Amino acid sequence: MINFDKFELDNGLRVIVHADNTTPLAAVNILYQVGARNENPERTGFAHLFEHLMFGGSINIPSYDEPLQWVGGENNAFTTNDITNYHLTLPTENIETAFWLESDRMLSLAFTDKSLEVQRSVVIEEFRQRYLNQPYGDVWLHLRPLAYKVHPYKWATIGISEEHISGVKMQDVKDFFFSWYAPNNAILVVTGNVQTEEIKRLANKWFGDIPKREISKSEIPQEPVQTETRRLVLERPVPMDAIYIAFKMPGRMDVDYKTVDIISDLLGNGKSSRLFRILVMEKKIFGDIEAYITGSIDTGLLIIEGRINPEISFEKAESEVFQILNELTENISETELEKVKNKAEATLVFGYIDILNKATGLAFFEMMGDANLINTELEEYQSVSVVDLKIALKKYLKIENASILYYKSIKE
Amino acid sequence: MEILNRDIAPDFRLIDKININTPKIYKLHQTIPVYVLNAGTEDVIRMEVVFNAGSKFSDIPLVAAFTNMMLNEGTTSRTSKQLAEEFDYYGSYLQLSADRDFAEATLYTLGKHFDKTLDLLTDIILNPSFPEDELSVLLDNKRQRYKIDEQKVKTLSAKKFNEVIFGKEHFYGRNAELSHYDLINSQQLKDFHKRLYHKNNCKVIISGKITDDVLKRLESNFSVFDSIDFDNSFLLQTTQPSTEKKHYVEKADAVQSSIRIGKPLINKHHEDYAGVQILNTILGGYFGSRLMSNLREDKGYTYGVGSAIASLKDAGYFTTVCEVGAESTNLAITEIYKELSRLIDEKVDNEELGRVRNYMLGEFVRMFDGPFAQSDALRSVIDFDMDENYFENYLKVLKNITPTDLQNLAGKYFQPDTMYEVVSGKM
Repeated sequence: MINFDKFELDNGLRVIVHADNTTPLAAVNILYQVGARNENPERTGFAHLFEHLMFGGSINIPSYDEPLQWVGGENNAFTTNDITNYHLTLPTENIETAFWLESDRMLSLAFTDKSLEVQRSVVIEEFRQRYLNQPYGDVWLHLRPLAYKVHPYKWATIGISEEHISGVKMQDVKDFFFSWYAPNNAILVVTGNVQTEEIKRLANKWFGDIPKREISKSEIPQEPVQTETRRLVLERPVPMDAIYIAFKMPGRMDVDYKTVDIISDLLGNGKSSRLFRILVMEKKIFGDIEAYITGSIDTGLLIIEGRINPEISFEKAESEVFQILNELTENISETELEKVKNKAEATLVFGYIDILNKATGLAFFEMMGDANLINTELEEYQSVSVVDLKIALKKYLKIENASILYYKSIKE
Repeated sequence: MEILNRDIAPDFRLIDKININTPKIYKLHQTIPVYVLNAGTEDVIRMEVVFNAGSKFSDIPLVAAFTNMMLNEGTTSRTSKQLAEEFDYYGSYLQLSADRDFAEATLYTLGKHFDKTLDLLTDIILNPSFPEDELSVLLDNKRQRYKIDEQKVKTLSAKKFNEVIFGKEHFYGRNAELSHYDLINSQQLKDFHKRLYHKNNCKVIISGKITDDVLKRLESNFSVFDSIDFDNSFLLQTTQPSTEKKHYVEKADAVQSSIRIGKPLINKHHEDYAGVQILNTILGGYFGSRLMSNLREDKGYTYGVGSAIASLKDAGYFTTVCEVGAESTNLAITEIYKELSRLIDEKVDNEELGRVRNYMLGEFVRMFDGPFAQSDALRSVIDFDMDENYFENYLKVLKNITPTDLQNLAGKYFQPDTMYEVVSGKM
């Protein structure tokens, strides 16, 4: 059980405090409710580029990192299709420094040309390093637009192309900041060796005078139901053929979400999972295969991806996967379901040992509607039944709901 | 309401004391050293069983890795499938790994399932059967993995760098090649296991919520090999660094190059080690380092650049690592050498040293926060037959080191013309 206190400032900033006095540290997590799904289709990759710019100095403080290093702190951030999340840890006695730094960059950035110019290059190098210069690195640049036709999930957080990043202007940066970065669009979580009263005082002192802002209201176009199989073949100089099968699945708050998550575990999480056991170890169709979900707020994906052994055709590999899906629909034992639930339990317990993970988790669930969902998550997994699984398998893991990518190995 | 002055940083306190949780150490069955770190609030246990059984103990580079990987592919009483199902059923996680010095099996489990999962861990360490069929699947899959890794400029540079600084034939310098996979057979792995997964060649580190009952279980249920063939000797070789300083591995279609610049260096046992670590932090060991500030935050050549001082059991080395746009390769290399020279030519100013010192003190606090962090920290000394005095000494050096000391260390260890340079990709 993760206990917490919650309060809201007049400007709409939600604050959550979880005290853990077994650590000398404190963790601070600020989640902004903006991600790649909120981007202009002509300027993709912007939320992520913006995350970089948040470290380029704020209105009153020329450097974010240096003062934090001075007090023994360490920080980082990440951007997803749904959110942008900033987090840090530091010795708890120096926590006020975190409030000073985070509130100033929520108030306003410095918006220097130098920072924009350099971070455009850095992000382009990140694009190359992670997506272009790696074997199979560009899969998501193609799989997303295959699976999504309408929803902005059709592009990756890094963006559609280097040009989208290099073309960003300072005015775009300012507009984005004042449309999304605001106390009423953020959730602040503090965990560790802290007390709620002190955090309340610091939150009011540093964040209290930041004005509420008008948050961009544009509706995110939702993806219509898919009715036929989509296919794409890519030819690349990689050593092995690979297949990616993406099934549409419901978003985070849907009643079926956890059921489909369990299906992905049964299929392809761990060495005892169905796909790995049968298709890698027994039939030797794949060199490796796994299944996982994207965990998106809106319509997400369950992905099955595998490297296909030499001499095995794409068609054979694909039909073997679907055969496993059929077998699963017909025959799931209670023991197998229990196994996956036990795994879910262990994953949650191990995942929330760390004060930083707890802070990020609390912020995420608060955004989803209630921070206490962090405590009821396990029950929800435990309440999934064999019947639920069978219904969900039929509903979501069917071929007409799949986007299938053949990643074909060719000689250089 | 008070008027807020946002220009001025709030007061802060320097970290003056770090709580280092000392492990309880005892001998299991009068032989195996067990390090117990009872810490944290959750009912979790991590148990590491570490053998001196890394790749240096065999003439064939992959024997150690495959012996280790095959542990949970079948025992005399359980099949590969049964093992996978049982470990998964209890929600536990088994991590197998082997590097150049050590091989280990690490179990992560909820405390309530410790009994059952300890039985499994004991079984795979004591009774592995190395079945041929599973071995052939694993060999095929790892061959594929190898071919994929060979397409990464990062891998090409890392392998070349090893060869260059230690010598192609040295047990730290040699790399696994595709042909080496053909040399592996089940009998070899059995022999290697019999020779080295032995009670006189191992240690156990157990961390988390460690009750007396857990320790009792360990005493009654856990055992490892006890045979007469035990022999953990290996042929000590002298390193033979390359006679050439610059090395280039071309990859024509690369859009980025991977750069490694470094050299063999002292390891943890040397009295200068802590000082050199601090110097390295200034150079490339944290986000605000000189290399990051210059190559990333000023010039935008790279997504990330860093440097490290690494210790192996019988050697040590220094390396700077980055991937840069192919067109910026030479510019980036020039800047790396410039930063090395700057440490030798100019004293670090007190502002920068103060910041790095405080940052590193913060890292020390993080290093001992929580049971698993503590056990990682412990491993980093006991693997070198040292104890927590290492940290006490490190802290003393960190608090007292001066700009002059750092400049002297830079002159002694970071001379640009002593460095080896490896580039993979396109330039």
